[in-house]
Amino acid sequence: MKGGAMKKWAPLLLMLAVVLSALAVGSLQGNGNQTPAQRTVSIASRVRCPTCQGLSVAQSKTPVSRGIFDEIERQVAAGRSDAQITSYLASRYGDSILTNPPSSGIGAVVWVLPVIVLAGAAGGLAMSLRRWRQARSASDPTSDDLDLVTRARAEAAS
Amino acid sequence: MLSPGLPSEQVPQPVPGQQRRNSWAEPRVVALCVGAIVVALIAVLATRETAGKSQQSPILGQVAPAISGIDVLSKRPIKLSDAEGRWTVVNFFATWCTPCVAEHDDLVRFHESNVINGEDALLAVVFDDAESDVKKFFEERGGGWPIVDEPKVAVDYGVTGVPETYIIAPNGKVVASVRGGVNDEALVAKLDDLKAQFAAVNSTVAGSTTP
Repeated sequence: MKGGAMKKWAPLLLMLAVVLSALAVGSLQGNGNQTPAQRTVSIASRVRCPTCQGLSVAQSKTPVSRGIFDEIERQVAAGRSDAQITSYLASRYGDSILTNPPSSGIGAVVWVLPVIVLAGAAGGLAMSLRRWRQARSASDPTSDDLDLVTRARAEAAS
Repeated sequence: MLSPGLPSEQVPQPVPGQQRRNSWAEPRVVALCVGAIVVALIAVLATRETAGKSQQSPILGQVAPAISGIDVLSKRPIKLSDAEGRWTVVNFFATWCTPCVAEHDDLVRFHESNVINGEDALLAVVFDDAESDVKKFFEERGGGWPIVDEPKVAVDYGVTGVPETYIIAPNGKVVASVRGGVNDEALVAKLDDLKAQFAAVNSTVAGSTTP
């Protein structure tokens, strides 16, 4: 019995481990050995050009964007952290300057909501699958049963 | 045709009562929940502090970011704190920007009426422009207030375009900002208004502290 349960869950556990390690590698990689120029571009790509539509400071060549880009470059050279630089820019231009919304206050909704929805959907799906399986195993007629009845009624009618 | 000998109840059918409950009650509950969430979101978003005024500068009410540099015209070092204790108008401009050119005569008039007599201060910050062009512009069109050419300052103030003008109170806080060109009469009126408000607040504070 125990061995059967293990066999049943092993692939799922393996998949979970693979997904988690892939996510960990993906999100942690690249923060280690960036050159100052790479860090500047990486921060600038997370800052919205205030006068454009859908462009980051790294992509835009407007005077405002170039000014912000140069300022990011100066602050990177001065040894400030990514978070310090982005929060400095948010304090001057407002939170809307950041392409990633803040994870506190009302902005947290966009981070938390997908998690809640996903968890709710998974739970709902699990419950539905369970109920369908139970319903099927109980007394609901299958399509074969219905065919049988239809044929029987047709014979009776004729 | 259905045979009268075979009552329809004999046709296998889902139990009516139970099926109704499952297929109708749940969607209704889900729909009500989703509706409640949407209503709550709208209520929160519509009533929060920044609703409808997202264009306002976040530095309003904050201590004005420092400005220092070499005056483009006189080549002497200048800084914003030189004007501490006075109302200071900080004007971001560029010679390539048409509304900046248009507001220049207004700034010259404001300089003559309010700055030369030592009452208020005026400081210009160059926005993405060549110093030689700025010099030529002031030689041709007049005006002799200090001009700083430091790109960092525009970012410190969150300037998104020129012209943009900030008013800094004698206590060093940013109290007003104007996007677009200024008009000297409107600027003086705005300053008078702010000065009156400032005096009223200071007198009530003074009044409340005296027994």
